Amino acid sequence: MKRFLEWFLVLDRRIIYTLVALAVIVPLLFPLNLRIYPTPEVESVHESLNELPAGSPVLVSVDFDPAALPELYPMLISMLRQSFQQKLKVFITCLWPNGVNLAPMAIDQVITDMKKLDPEFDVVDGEDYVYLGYQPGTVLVMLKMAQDIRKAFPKDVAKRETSTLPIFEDTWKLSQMKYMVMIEAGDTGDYWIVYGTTPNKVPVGAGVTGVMAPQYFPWLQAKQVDGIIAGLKGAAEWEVLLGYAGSATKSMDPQSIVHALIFLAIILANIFAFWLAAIKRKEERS
Amino acid sequence: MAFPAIILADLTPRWLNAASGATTSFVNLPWMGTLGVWVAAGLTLFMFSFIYRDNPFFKFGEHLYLGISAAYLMCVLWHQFFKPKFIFPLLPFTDPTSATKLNLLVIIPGILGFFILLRLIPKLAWLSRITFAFYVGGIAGFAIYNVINGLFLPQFHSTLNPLSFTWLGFNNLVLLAGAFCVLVYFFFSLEHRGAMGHVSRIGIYFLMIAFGASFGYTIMARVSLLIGRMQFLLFDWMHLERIFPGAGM
Repeated sequence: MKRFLEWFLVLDRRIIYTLVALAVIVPLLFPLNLRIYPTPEVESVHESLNELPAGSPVLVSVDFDPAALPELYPMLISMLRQSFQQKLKVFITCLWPNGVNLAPMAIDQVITDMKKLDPEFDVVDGEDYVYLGYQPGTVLVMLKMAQDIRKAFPKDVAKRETSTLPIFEDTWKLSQMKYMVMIEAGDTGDYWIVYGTTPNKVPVGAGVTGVMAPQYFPWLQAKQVDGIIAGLKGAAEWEVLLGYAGSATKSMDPQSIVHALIFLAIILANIFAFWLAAIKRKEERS
Repeated sequence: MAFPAIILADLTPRWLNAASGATTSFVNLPWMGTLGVWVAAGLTLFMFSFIYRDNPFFKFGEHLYLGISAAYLMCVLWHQFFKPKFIFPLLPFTDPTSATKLNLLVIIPGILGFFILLRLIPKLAWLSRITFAFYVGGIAGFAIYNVINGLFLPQFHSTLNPLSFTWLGFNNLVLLAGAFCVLVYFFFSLEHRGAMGHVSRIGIYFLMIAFGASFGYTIMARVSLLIGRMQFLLFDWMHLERIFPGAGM
């Protein structure tokens, strides 16, 4: 027994990697369809958007790059789906240079998916939504957006003058946004809260990577963010609330299995460590 | 770890699929999409090979990623920032849309930016201090007001909630006690002995719980990234959804 305990407590990391790989692959191939329960933090974002009347301007900031794609991209899809379903006016910005191509990809995907559901579905670029692309300067861009979004982004990604676009007829500054969802993989979210949404009194939902989620709870406590969509789990909850099974929902089976595996490993390692210590104490006494 | 494969792995196939309107069916993909999937899958496997041990395939993928991302960043900054904000206002005839007007004022930030590059020449490196002085002064000027109003005061206010014999009151008490004990832990002007030591000790426990929550979320995030890569390998690349009914993205 002692030898087994010693072997287990210095288990080769490659065995652990193999177990984790199996815990991911098997549920992906044989889905368990475990139930997902939306949390109040995600419900809050969904409800806030749900309460907006058609035509309300909303801002989406796509501040992540492909490294965070598995976690954050499903949130972007959900945000666009809900906004287009409710006929909201969607302003999309990007303050991360490496993420500039992600929004067009998501817009294309959502429009294609929604046309499959409803052949009459239609949104017009520049009228119902606009993708303003990337601007460097982060905080300076936010401060300029507070004055005039058209000056912060003189042209959209299609090189059209933003001042000529119909979507800007009634909305041209940050404080006129009825809601904002920032999808963040770095510090840009903090800057949005401090320099963008708080001074301009724009309610904001934060879609963030799992790593960043704990640091956003103080913002939630202070009511500086309206809700938090934390990592892939948060994205799956949003999909459940919208009533469709996207990539996040389908990822929850392996996510749960791996968590269970890690939990089991921690419990067993602790029990075995105490057990081994007890055996050694017993040996020393005898 | 999977960074080197990311740009090709995550952008190419889906972007091409979306652009071409193709389904995820292998045969319907344009050949560029197929090539992109294979390159991305290969690079993903190169990166995963580090799990076994460091090797030349991993090194190749790592260096490829650094090169691609640096070049990509340079292209984005050149086309979306340097050209429209500096070149076009200075030389309006280079703007293909002819919409930019001559603006000689951009020379000033241009010179300040050039000064930073002079750090590479030791004799002229001192000129970069002018730019940094301007930058630090400007940033501090607008940051102080916004940070106090947007960060410090709302966070301070949210800690001071009414205490009562309700569940909410208890939560507020824990919040207040946690904030106080952690602040005491980070107060270094008095030795942490006696009552001060006990309170700072409680502060450490609060910090440990916070770090534990953070670590849990980090594990969740890393597993999510692994799932994303596995979905790509199993379904975008190997198309195992054809063999396993119910599987797929």
